[in-house]
Amino acid sequence: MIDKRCSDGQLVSLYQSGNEEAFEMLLHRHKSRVYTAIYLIVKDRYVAEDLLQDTFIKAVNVIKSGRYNEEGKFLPWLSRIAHNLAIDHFRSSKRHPEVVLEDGSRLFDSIQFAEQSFETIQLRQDTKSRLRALIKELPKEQKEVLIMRHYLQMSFQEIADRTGVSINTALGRMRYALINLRKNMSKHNNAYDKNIYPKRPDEAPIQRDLGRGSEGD
Amino acid sequence: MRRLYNETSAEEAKEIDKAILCDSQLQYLYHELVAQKNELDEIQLTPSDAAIKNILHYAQGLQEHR
Repeated sequence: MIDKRCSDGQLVSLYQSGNEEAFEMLLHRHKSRVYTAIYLIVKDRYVAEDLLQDTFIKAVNVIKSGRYNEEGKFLPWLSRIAHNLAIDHFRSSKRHPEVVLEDGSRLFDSIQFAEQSFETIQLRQDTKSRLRALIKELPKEQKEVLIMRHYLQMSFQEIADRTGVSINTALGRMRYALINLRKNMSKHNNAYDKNIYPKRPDEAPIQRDLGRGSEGD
Repeated sequence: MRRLYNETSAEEAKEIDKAILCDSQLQYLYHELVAQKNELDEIQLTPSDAAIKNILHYAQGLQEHR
Protein backbone atom coordinates (compact mmCIF):
# COMPACT_ATOMS: atom_id res chain seq x y z
CA MET A 1 0.00 0.00 0.00
CA ILE A 2 1.47 3.34 -1.07
CA ASP A 3 1.22 6.37 1.20
CA LYS A 4 -1.17 8.90 -0.37
CA ARG A 5 1.16 11.72 0.63
CA CYS A 6 3.83 10.43 -1.78
CA SER A 7 4.98 13.14 -4.19
CA ASP A 8 4.58 12.71 -7.93
CA GLY A 9 8.35 12.27 -8.25
CA GLN A 10 8.33 9.45 -5.71
CA LEU A 11 5.42 7.76 -7.52
CA VAL A 12 7.26 7.97 -10.85
CA SER A 13 10.33 6.34 -9.26
CA LEU A 14 8.18 3.58 -7.77
CA TYR A 15 6.53 2.97 -11.14
CA GLN A 16 9.91 2.83 -12.85
CA SER A 17 10.93 0.11 -10.42
CA GLY A 18 7.86 -1.96 -11.30
CA ASN A 19 5.15 -0.77 -8.90
CA GLU A 20 1.92 -0.56 -10.92
CA GLU A 21 -0.09 0.88 -8.06
CA ALA A 22 2.13 3.96 -8.20
CA PHE A 23 1.08 4.66 -11.77
CA GLU A 24 -2.57 4.12 -10.89
CA MET A 25 -2.23 6.72 -8.14
CA LEU A 26 -0.61 9.21 -10.53
CA LEU A 27 -3.39 8.64 -13.03
CA HIS A 28 -6.18 9.15 -10.49
CA ARG A 29 -4.45 12.19 -9.02
CA HIS A 30 -4.28 14.07 -12.34
CA LYS A 31 -6.91 12.60 -14.67
CA SER A 32 -9.72 15.14 -14.02
CA ARG A 33 -7.57 18.24 -14.24
CA VAL A 34 -5.87 17.12 -17.46
CA TYR A 35 -9.12 15.84 -18.96
CA THR A 36 -10.95 19.12 -18.22
CA ALA A 37 -8.14 21.14 -19.80
CA ILE A 38 -8.17 19.02 -22.94
CA TYR A 39 -11.97 19.17 -23.11
CA LEU A 40 -11.99 22.97 -22.87
CA ILE A 41 -9.63 23.11 -25.86
CA VAL A 42 -11.16 20.47 -28.14
CA LYS A 43 -14.80 20.91 -26.95
CA ASP A 44 -15.69 17.27 -27.52
CA ARG A 45 -15.89 14.71 -24.70
CA TYR A 46 -14.97 11.75 -26.88
CA VAL A 47 -11.99 13.39 -28.50
CA ALA A 48 -10.90 14.62 -25.05
CA GLU A 49 -10.96 11.03 -23.75
CA ASP A 50 -8.91 9.82 -26.71
CA LEU A 51 -6.37 12.57 -26.17
CA LEU A 52 -6.25 11.88 -22.43
CA GLN A 53 -5.38 8.27 -23.23
CA ASP A 54 -2.73 9.38 -25.74
CA THR A 55 -1.27 11.74 -23.15
CA PHE A 56 -0.84 9.06 -20.49
CA ILE A 57 0.37 6.48 -23.02
CA LYS A 58 3.07 8.90 -24.16
CA ALA A 59 4.00 9.51 -20.53
CA VAL A 60 4.19 5.76 -19.81
CA ASN A 61 6.41 5.21 -22.85
CA VAL A 62 8.84 7.93 -21.82
CA ILE A 63 8.97 6.82 -18.17
CA LYS A 64 9.41 3.17 -19.04
CA SER A 65 12.13 3.83 -21.61
CA GLY A 66 14.11 5.69 -18.93
CA ARG A 67 13.92 9.01 -20.79
CA TYR A 68 11.95 10.80 -18.04
CA ASN A 69 13.93 13.68 -16.60
CA GLU A 70 13.54 13.47 -12.83
CA GLU A 71 14.56 17.08 -12.37
CA GLY A 72 11.41 18.34 -14.07
CA LYS A 73 8.08 18.21 -12.25
CA PHE A 74 5.65 15.52 -13.36
CA LEU A 75 2.43 17.55 -13.76
CA PRO A 76 3.90 20.43 -15.81
CA TRP A 77 5.57 17.83 -18.03
CA LEU A 78 2.34 15.85 -18.42
CA SER A 79 0.48 19.11 -19.04
CA ARG A 80 2.83 20.02 -21.88
CA ILE A 81 2.14 16.66 -23.55
CA ALA A 82 -1.63 17.11 -23.14
CA HIS A 83 -1.56 20.72 -24.33
CA ASN A 84 0.48 19.88 -27.44
CA LEU A 85 -1.83 16.99 -28.36
CA ALA A 86 -4.95 19.09 -27.80
CA ILE A 87 -3.63 22.02 -29.83
CA ASP A 88 -2.54 19.68 -32.67
CA HIS A 89 -6.00 18.17 -32.70
CA PHE A 90 -7.69 21.57 -32.56
CA ARG A 91 -5.67 22.74 -35.56
CA SER A 92 -6.38 19.63 -37.64
CA SER A 93 -10.10 19.67 -36.71
CA LYS A 94 -10.31 23.21 -38.03
CA ARG A 95 -9.43 21.74 -41.39
CA HIS A 96 -12.06 18.97 -41.01
CA PRO A 97 -14.84 20.52 -38.91
CA GLU A 98 -17.37 18.35 -37.09
CA VAL A 99 -20.64 19.49 -35.51
CA VAL A 100 -20.29 19.56 -31.72
CA LEU A 101 -23.01 20.86 -29.42
CA GLU A 102 -22.64 23.31 -26.55
CA ASP A 103 -22.36 20.55 -23.95
CA GLY A 104 -19.48 18.84 -25.75
CA SER A 105 -21.48 16.02 -27.31
CA ARG A 106 -21.65 15.40 -31.04
CA LEU A 107 -24.72 16.16 -33.11
CA PHE A 108 -25.20 12.46 -33.81
CA ASP A 109 -25.60 11.68 -30.07
CA SER A 110 -28.50 14.06 -29.62
CA ILE A 111 -30.26 12.68 -32.66
CA GLN A 112 -29.82 9.16 -31.40
CA PHE A 113 -30.98 10.00 -27.85
CA ALA A 114 -33.53 12.66 -28.65
CA GLU A 115 -35.75 11.56 -25.75
CA GLN A 116 -33.12 12.94 -23.32
CA SER A 117 -33.63 16.49 -24.57
CA PHE A 118 -35.43 17.61 -21.39
CA GLU A 119 -32.51 16.42 -19.31
CA THR A 120 -30.13 18.15 -21.70
CA ILE A 121 -32.01 21.41 -21.36
CA GLN A 122 -31.85 21.14 -17.57
CA LEU A 123 -28.14 20.42 -17.73
CA ARG A 124 -27.55 23.47 -19.90
CA GLN A 125 -29.20 25.62 -17.25
CA ASP A 126 -26.98 24.15 -14.62
CA THR A 127 -24.40 26.58 -13.24
CA LYS A 128 -21.52 24.26 -13.98
CA SER A 129 -22.33 23.85 -17.62
CA ARG A 130 -22.97 27.60 -17.80
CA LEU A 131 -19.47 28.26 -16.48
CA ARG A 132 -17.96 25.78 -18.93
CA ALA A 133 -19.80 27.53 -21.75
CA LEU A 134 -18.55 30.93 -20.55
CA ILE A 135 -14.96 29.67 -20.53
CA LYS A 136 -15.38 28.61 -24.14
CA GLU A 137 -16.65 32.09 -24.98
CA LEU A 138 -13.65 33.90 -23.49
CA PRO A 139 -11.25 35.65 -25.88
CA LYS A 140 -8.76 33.05 -27.18
CA GLU A 141 -5.76 34.51 -25.32
CA GLN A 142 -7.58 34.62 -21.98
CA LYS A 143 -8.96 31.11 -22.36
CA GLU A 144 -5.51 29.78 -23.22
CA VAL A 145 -3.88 31.27 -20.11
CA LEU A 146 -6.76 30.16 -17.87
CA ILE A 147 -6.54 26.54 -19.05
CA MET A 148 -2.76 26.47 -18.83
CA ARG A 149 -2.60 28.03 -15.36
CA HIS A 150 -5.65 26.60 -13.65
CA TYR A 151 -6.06 23.13 -15.11
CA LEU A 152 -2.61 22.32 -16.45
CA GLN A 153 -0.95 24.06 -13.49
CA MET A 154 1.82 25.71 -15.49
CA SER A 155 3.49 28.70 -13.83
CA PHE A 156 2.87 32.18 -15.25
CA GLN A 157 6.50 32.30 -16.35
CA GLU A 158 6.15 29.01 -18.21
CA ILE A 159 2.94 30.23 -19.87
CA ALA A 160 4.68 33.45 -20.90
CA ASP A 161 7.54 31.46 -22.44
CA ARG A 162 5.24 29.07 -24.27
CA THR A 163 2.92 31.73 -25.64
CA GLY A 164 5.67 34.22 -26.48
CA VAL A 165 4.44 37.09 -24.30
CA SER A 166 5.78 38.84 -21.21
CA ILE A 167 4.85 37.52 -17.77
CA ASN A 168 2.86 40.73 -17.13
CA THR A 169 0.75 40.07 -20.22
CA ALA A 170 0.11 36.49 -19.06
CA LEU A 171 -0.87 37.76 -15.59
CA GLY A 172 -3.14 40.41 -17.11
CA ARG A 173 -4.88 37.90 -19.35
CA MET A 174 -5.55 35.61 -16.40
CA ARG A 175 -6.91 38.51 -14.38
CA TYR A 176 -9.30 39.55 -17.13
CA ALA A 177 -10.33 35.94 -17.73
CA LEU A 178 -11.41 35.55 -14.09
CA ILE A 179 -13.06 38.97 -14.00
CA ASN A 180 -14.97 38.30 -17.22
CA LEU A 181 -16.19 34.95 -15.92
CA ARG A 182 -17.27 36.49 -12.62
CA LYS A 183 -19.13 39.30 -14.36
CA ASN A 184 -20.87 37.02 -16.83
CA MET A 185 -21.78 34.49 -14.16
CA SER A 186 -23.33 37.18 -11.96
CA LYS A 187 -25.20 38.59 -14.98
CA HIS A 188 -26.64 35.13 -15.50
CA ASN A 189 -27.50 34.64 -11.82
CA ASN A 190 -29.12 38.07 -11.53
CA ALA A 191 -31.27 37.39 -14.58
CA TYR A 192 -32.32 34.11 -13.01
CA ASP A 193 -33.25 35.75 -9.69
CA LYS A 194 -35.15 38.57 -11.37
CA ASN A 195 -37.39 36.23 -13.30
CA ILE A 196 -38.21 33.88 -10.49
CA TYR A 197 -38.13 36.18 -7.45
CA PRO A 198 -38.72 39.81 -8.46
CA LYS A 199 -36.86 42.11 -6.06
CA ARG A 200 -38.17 45.27 -4.39
CA PRO A 201 -36.21 48.36 -5.51
CA ASP A 202 -34.62 48.74 -2.05
CA GLU A 203 -33.29 45.18 -2.28
CA ALA A 204 -31.47 45.74 -5.56
CA PRO A 205 -27.82 44.67 -5.34
CA ILE A 206 -25.17 47.38 -5.28
CA GLN A 207 -23.19 47.25 -8.54
CA ARG A 208 -19.47 47.18 -7.90
CA ASP A 209 -16.85 47.65 -10.54
CA LEU A 210 -14.55 44.65 -11.02
CA GLY A 211 -12.30 46.45 -13.49
CA ARG A 212 -12.04 46.57 -17.25
CA GLY A 213 -12.95 42.93 -17.68
CA SER A 214 -13.77 42.92 -21.36
CA GLU A 215 -10.30 43.84 -22.58
CA GLY A 216 -8.20 41.30 -24.41
CA ASP A 217 -4.96 41.74 -22.46
CA MET B 1 -2.71 36.96 -9.65
CA ARG B 2 0.58 35.51 -8.46
CA ARG B 3 -0.68 35.60 -4.86
CA LEU B 4 -3.88 33.86 -5.91
CA TYR B 5 -1.89 31.01 -7.45
CA ASN B 6 0.79 30.87 -4.74
CA GLU B 7 3.59 32.02 -6.97
CA THR B 8 5.00 34.58 -4.56
CA SER B 9 7.72 34.32 -1.93
CA ALA B 10 6.60 34.33 1.71
CA GLU B 11 7.83 37.92 1.99
CA GLU B 12 5.86 39.10 -1.07
CA ALA B 13 2.76 37.25 0.15
CA LYS B 14 2.92 39.12 3.47
CA GLU B 15 3.20 42.46 1.69
CA ILE B 16 0.28 41.68 -0.62
CA ASP B 17 -1.90 40.47 2.28
CA LYS B 18 -1.16 43.71 4.12
CA ALA B 19 -2.14 45.76 1.07
CA ILE B 20 -5.36 43.76 0.66
CA LEU B 21 -6.29 44.35 4.31
CA CYS B 22 -5.82 48.11 3.98
CA ASP B 23 -7.72 48.61 0.74
CA SER B 24 -11.40 47.67 0.72
CA GLN B 25 -11.65 47.80 -3.08
CA LEU B 26 -8.67 45.53 -3.49
CA GLN B 27 -10.12 43.27 -0.80
CA TYR B 28 -13.39 43.00 -2.71
CA LEU B 29 -11.61 42.27 -5.99
CA TYR B 30 -9.38 39.64 -4.38
CA HIS B 31 -12.34 37.85 -2.78
CA GLU B 32 -14.18 37.85 -6.10
CA LEU B 33 -11.14 36.33 -7.80
CA VAL B 34 -10.78 33.69 -5.07
CA ALA B 35 -14.47 32.80 -5.43
CA GLN B 36 -14.12 32.49 -9.19
CA LYS B 37 -11.01 30.36 -8.84
CA ASN B 38 -12.88 28.01 -6.49
CA GLU B 39 -15.73 27.71 -8.96
CA LEU B 40 -13.25 26.66 -11.65
CA ASP B 41 -12.26 23.74 -9.43
CA GLU B 42 -15.86 22.64 -9.15
CA ILE B 43 -16.44 22.25 -12.87
CA GLN B 44 -13.79 19.61 -13.34
CA LEU B 45 -14.94 16.72 -15.48
CA THR B 46 -14.18 13.07 -14.93
CA PRO B 47 -13.21 10.83 -17.83
CA SER B 48 -15.11 7.59 -18.29
CA ASP B 49 -14.07 4.39 -16.51
CA ALA B 50 -13.42 2.82 -19.92
CA ALA B 51 -10.81 5.45 -20.78
CA ILE B 52 -9.07 4.95 -17.42
CA LYS B 53 -9.15 1.18 -17.85
CA ASN B 54 -7.56 1.50 -21.30
CA ILE B 55 -4.70 3.54 -19.88
CA LEU B 56 -4.14 1.14 -17.01
CA HIS B 57 -4.26 -1.81 -19.40
CA TYR B 58 -1.60 -0.23 -21.55
CA ALA B 59 0.61 0.58 -18.58
CA GLN B 60 0.20 -2.94 -17.22
CA GLY B 61 0.93 -4.57 -20.59
CA LEU B 62 4.11 -2.59 -20.93
CA GLN B 63 5.13 -3.61 -17.42
CA GLU B 64 4.61 -7.31 -18.22
CA HIS B 65 6.65 -7.05 -21.43
CA ARG B 66 9.71 -5.89 -19.53
